[in-house]
Amino acid sequence: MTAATEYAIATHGLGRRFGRNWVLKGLDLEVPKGCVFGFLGLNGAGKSTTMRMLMGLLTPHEGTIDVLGHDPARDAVAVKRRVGYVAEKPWFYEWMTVREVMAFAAHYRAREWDDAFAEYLVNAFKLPRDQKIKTFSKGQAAKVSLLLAMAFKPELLILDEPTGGLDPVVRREFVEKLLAEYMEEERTVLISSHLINEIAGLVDRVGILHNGTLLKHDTIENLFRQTKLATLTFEDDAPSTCTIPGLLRCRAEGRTARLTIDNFDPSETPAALGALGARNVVIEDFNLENLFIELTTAADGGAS
Amino acid sequence: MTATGRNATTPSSAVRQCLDARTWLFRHTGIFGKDVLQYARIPAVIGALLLLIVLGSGVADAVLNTGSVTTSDAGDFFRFGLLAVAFVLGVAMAGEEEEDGTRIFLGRLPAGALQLLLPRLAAAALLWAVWFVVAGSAIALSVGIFPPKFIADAIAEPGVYLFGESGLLFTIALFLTGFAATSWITRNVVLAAAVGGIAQILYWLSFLLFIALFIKDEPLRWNSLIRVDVRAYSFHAHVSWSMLMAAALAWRYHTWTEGAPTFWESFFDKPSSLQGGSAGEGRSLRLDPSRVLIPHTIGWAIALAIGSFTLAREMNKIAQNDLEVFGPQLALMLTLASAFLGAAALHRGEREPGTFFLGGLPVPPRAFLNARLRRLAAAAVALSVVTLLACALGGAMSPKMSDVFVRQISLVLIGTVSVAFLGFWARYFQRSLLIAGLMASVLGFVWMMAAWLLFFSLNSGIAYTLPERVEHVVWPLAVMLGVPFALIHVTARGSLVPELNERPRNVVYLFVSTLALIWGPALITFSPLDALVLLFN
Repeated sequence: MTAATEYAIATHGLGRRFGRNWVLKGLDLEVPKGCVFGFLGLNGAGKSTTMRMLMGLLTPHEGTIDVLGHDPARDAVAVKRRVGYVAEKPWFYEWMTVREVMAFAAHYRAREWDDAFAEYLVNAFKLPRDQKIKTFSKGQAAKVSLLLAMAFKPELLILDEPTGGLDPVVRREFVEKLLAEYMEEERTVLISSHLINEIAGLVDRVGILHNGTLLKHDTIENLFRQTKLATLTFEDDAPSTCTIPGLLRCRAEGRTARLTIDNFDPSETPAALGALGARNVVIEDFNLENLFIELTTAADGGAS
Repeated sequence: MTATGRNATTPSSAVRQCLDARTWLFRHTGIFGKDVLQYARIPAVIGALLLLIVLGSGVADAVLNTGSVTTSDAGDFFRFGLLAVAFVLGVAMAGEEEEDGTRIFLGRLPAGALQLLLPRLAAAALLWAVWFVVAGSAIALSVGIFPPKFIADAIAEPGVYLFGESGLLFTIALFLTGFAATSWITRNVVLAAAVGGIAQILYWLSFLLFIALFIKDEPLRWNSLIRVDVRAYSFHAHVSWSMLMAAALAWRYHTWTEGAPTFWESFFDKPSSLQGGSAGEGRSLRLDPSRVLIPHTIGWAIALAIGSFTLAREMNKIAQNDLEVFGPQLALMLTLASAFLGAAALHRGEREPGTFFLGGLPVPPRAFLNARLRRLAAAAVALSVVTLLACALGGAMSPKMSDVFVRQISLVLIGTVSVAFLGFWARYFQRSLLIAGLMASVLGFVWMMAAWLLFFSLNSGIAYTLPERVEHVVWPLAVMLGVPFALIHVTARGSLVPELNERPRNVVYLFVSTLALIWGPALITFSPLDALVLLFN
């Protein structure tokens, strides 16, 4: 099976509803092995639902899923054995200590659990081993969640808002050190985060989910290459509308117009911009967060 | 702090060894060891409750010479305890995982359905077996009987619980019913316990029908329902039911996912509580914070109405054969129901006013509290009225039925409200709904019995004057209602207890509830008139 060899994750036509409300519809997602895939979307876009279906924690209502050659809907145990998962909201037995919850999880991952690496992570996260989890702060609970997901060195790591409760120092250390170390062994990571700029330097590919469908899905270089911000300065008031190939959004303020352009073609788009009659044209790259905001806003009807 | 990240307070070597032992247990036994450790408190609480009742009866006998603790009474308590431990363990083991969301943690582990379910059943069996030996010995020693003889006699003796091998099978059926109802029906432990109770009553009825089908001789058919002969026929019913429940459990575990709605959620077309958060509760709260009580009220009213009516009919048959008096059992059931009703009325988050969203609203906490208490009182009264009506309805079949119970309407009404308030109060101290409910039941049951004793004296043939009757009725009811009400207000308004951590809270609760346990009955039975007589006689 091709998907099993090339892709850590492959979904086709994936859909899921809650009650009568479809939160995900026709999702085709491919995550190559060995990459860090940034899975972005607004609140309620369907990221967590997708991740839970990838883990076999939810059953899809339509479509197929392949995770490391397994169908999570049929063999969730095999998937969970090979995949580490950090949920947006961590759940534990709060009356257990860190040491105890590690022992409990290790019982069910007897073959894969790496005691030395688990100890390394406990030290790295500065977690008090003999303290009950119920006394932990939100950030410490997030660390325990990361610890349990990474301690058996899974082939695939699915991280749903993993750094939400972490302080900036630990967050940076996690992203720059722990995840980087983890990736040295050619493992795959699917990560969703609202702190987009923090993961921007880490991800190879990005998928932007919006209203249950995939808006964009490409390498980060291609995304930056294809989507640009053009700032046009006019002699008089800027026109409120303009026509140009690939235009996503146009915002006019006084004599300045800001245009978000998709499918940017270096050989044609600058000429087309020049033809709009502006006194000055500046073309810039977006950072990942602004790119995300532009694309999702345009998808909601922000284009003019 | 060192690089190892150890806590600043290093545990002593004894604590260290204990922690290591627990870690070893979890590493090598997984959920089996976890369940044994976590749920050992349930048989312990039930054992303590029964032992308290047995010892209390002994003290009452010695002081008042009003009754006696016989081997048969103690045996009944013991058998009842065995059944209660099984059922409550079933409800708790499934219910706490569902309600606390820790089922989600289990769902993320690479473990199959049976890999999780079977050790849980084994842990329950172990706890039940330990209770069998330890509680049996303790109750035997408390009534001065050699434990092995007491246990052997208690098990061999036929009674309402049909003991012997049939009793064991019935216990298994009870456990599985509790477990399955909580896994399948609802994530709310209280509601699940009620639904499980109904399921068990339905089972009991189907079991009786099963017997009736197999015994053709008309007089023998009904008489044998309560006799030893029935054991032979009960085997098939118990095993069939247990297998049905086990299959239901295995299927639920196999198909469970994070979004799987319960029967309750599917029935009302609600989004799963795990998906939609507490959307339903949120809607009610927007209207009126005190309305979170309503689902509990409705659930309990329905459960009690059906349960009491069915039980009353069945007990009627037993009463006709002069084998059992129903009053204390129904009082215990009503006490448990109202204690849990009260405990469930306080949201777990409200125990921490600094973090729960209600604390941030521009409304005085007193406004919320009084509204909650009013609704709780109304719910408790509704509960007792429904139960009384059901008893009266069942009793219409025979003049003997529920006579004692129906005669004491004022006690039932006020007692139910009182125990519900005690449950509400206990929840400030206990994070677990189950423990709060059980602990409040202990306190409430002793109070109810004290008042009951006083009320009985009114029916003993002595000619009381009107003021004496008022003193014997109004004073105990005022105490039963007033003391928990005052306790709640001191606890909630003072903001002292809610700001404590769990351990100090437990200590405070144990201290205050022990005082209430000792002095509550004394206060109920000792009126100001008695005090005046004692002082100025």
